[in-house]
Amino acid sequence: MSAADYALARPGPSKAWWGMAMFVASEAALFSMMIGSYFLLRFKNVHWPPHGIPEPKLVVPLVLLGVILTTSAPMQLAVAAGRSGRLGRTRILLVLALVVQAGYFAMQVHEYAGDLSRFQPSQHAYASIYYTLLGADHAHVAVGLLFDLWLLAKLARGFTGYRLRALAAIAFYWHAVNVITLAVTLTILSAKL
Amino acid sequence: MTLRRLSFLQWFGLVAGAGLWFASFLGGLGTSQAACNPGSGGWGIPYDTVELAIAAFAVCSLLAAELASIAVFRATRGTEEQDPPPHGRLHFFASAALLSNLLFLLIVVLTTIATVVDRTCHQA
Repeated sequence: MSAADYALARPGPSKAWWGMAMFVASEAALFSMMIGSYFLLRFKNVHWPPHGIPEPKLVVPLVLLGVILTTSAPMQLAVAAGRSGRLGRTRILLVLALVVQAGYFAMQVHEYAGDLSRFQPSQHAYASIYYTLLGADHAHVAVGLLFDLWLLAKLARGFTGYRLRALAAIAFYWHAVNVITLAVTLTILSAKL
Repeated sequence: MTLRRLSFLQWFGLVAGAGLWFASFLGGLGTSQAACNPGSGGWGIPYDTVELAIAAFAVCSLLAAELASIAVFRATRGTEEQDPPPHGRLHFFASAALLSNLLFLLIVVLTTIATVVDRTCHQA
């Protein structure tokens, strides 16, 4: 088999999937640096969180984390339904994921606004890294919601190869966002240790 | 051995060395920061034990990566590096991994010896 034949016959994920993998890798590096910064600051401060700033809540973030993690299932099932050509099932699973993700996002924005009323990002290094980590994570969820809406609009006119590849890439994005959310939530909750 | 398994072993052999070295470096750096700073210094982190555990994991995994590279190199020994993929690619990357894994192994072992022998939490 020549190099050209191999390139044409090469099995495996699409270029869209690889593009998303590269994007996710860069986002993973960004969050790794922010989480590293969080712990570096935490190691240098005897009082964490400092006096005057409330400790993070435990129950609500863990419940919300559980909710967002479950959305990986409908996203992956939507990919499977798309591959088997079941358009209706794909749309339903995407709408189901979108509803849960939107609910999660609304709750998180509400919590974020509540925190802002209690302490400001400029108050302490803890507050700065707290809002930066959570804000960056919520921004990624917001981008994922836009991806879902765009995909649903595209799927209203049926399947194409392009849309199926987009579905796989967006599902991959959501899996990555869920893993990032897991890491960010556990990092923030580590202040209660 | 199937082509799929050879490909897996080739990529594992190629990227595991660099990944393990970087992970062990970050782990060691994080442990030293946790052990030597005022906010976490009181946690009683056993610095040398953690360093040795990280190094043991990295060395075992690096040896596995080296064995994977040897297996791919032997399975494709009738192939030239310039041959078309997948066999040319397998042989080329297996050759590169054979050398790079040894270098990463040396880096991990020497770094661990230095950090364990040296006193912890003092200005270099």
